[in-house]
Amino acid sequence: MSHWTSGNDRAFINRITFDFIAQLEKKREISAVTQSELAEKLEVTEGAVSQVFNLNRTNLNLKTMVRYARALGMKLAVVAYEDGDPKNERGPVGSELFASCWERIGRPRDVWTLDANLQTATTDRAAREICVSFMYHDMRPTGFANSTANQDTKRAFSETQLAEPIEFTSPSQEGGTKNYARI
Amino acid sequence: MAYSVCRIPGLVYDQHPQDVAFVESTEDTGIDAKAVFDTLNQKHKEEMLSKFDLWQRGQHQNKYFHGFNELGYRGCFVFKRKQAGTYHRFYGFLHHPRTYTQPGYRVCILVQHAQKNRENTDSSELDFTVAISIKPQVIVAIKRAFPELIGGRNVTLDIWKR
Repeated sequence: MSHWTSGNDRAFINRITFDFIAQLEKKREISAVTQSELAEKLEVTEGAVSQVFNLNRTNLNLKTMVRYARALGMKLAVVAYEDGDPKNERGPVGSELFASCWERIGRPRDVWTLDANLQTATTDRAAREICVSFMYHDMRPTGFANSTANQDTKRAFSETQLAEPIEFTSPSQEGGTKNYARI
Repeated sequence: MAYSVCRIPGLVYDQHPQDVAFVESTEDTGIDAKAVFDTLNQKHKEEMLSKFDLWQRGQHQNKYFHGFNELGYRGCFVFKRKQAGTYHRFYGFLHHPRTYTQPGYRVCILVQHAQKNRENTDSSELDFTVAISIKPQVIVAIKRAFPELIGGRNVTLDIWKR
């Protein structure tokens, strides 16, 4: 069965407008801004703001969306994307998911920062995975070369430069000897 | 008493770890969530579908939907809507229908609709939902609508990959 927004553009617009309002609502909740305060900032009536937040007005234009976002200290991005679902059988990807990904990758403001953040995230994750492997599976660094870990992880790990040696305690050697791994 | 669980037209199922559905009964008049949802105009229906979508994707938004912390009502759930100063509520309960092949998968089974002038939930509304949630016939109907996956536990991994 196809998603309910696949039938017509109006439904799709309603859906993404709802996503936008949900994001504003969350921000309004966090920053404890009342509808009347927002109305004052926007120089509109409280009723108009209420209409927007109660989803009674779904035909928001870009200008209105920018004004509402800016009034709450936010910015607006219009994102076009491909998700391998050209007939929209699975519905749109929520805007909060895009925002969440951007925040998790360190809120980069350009592609260079994005690349750097991605690199750091990859090496951090690889180091974490290897540490966990050492601790729980009693793996030795020599075993790593032959392990089934994927090539990306291996490469990222080999590029990791840690200043201090990491200390591991093997579960098979409880209460006694410790293994040391210098990376 | 006959109960059946029906999926909501327009929602995509088995794409996320949680889905929404309605329970129906030919004899229990208290079960009216689906009947009320069907009478909503297109705009309000889409508003509710958007909220179902948001919940399916794992978002939290107390203004649109939430569970309950009170003892005895922890399995209950509500989807909310406000129209012209009137509060509309779709009450339901959460159920894990695939305990063997997909233990983490849960469905919010919507039971009844309430329309009122105050925001707070009346516990009698939840009592009715709880009573429905423990009826063996309802549980059988949920299992029939959301059966265990064929192929065992590994099937779950394939679903998330899709």
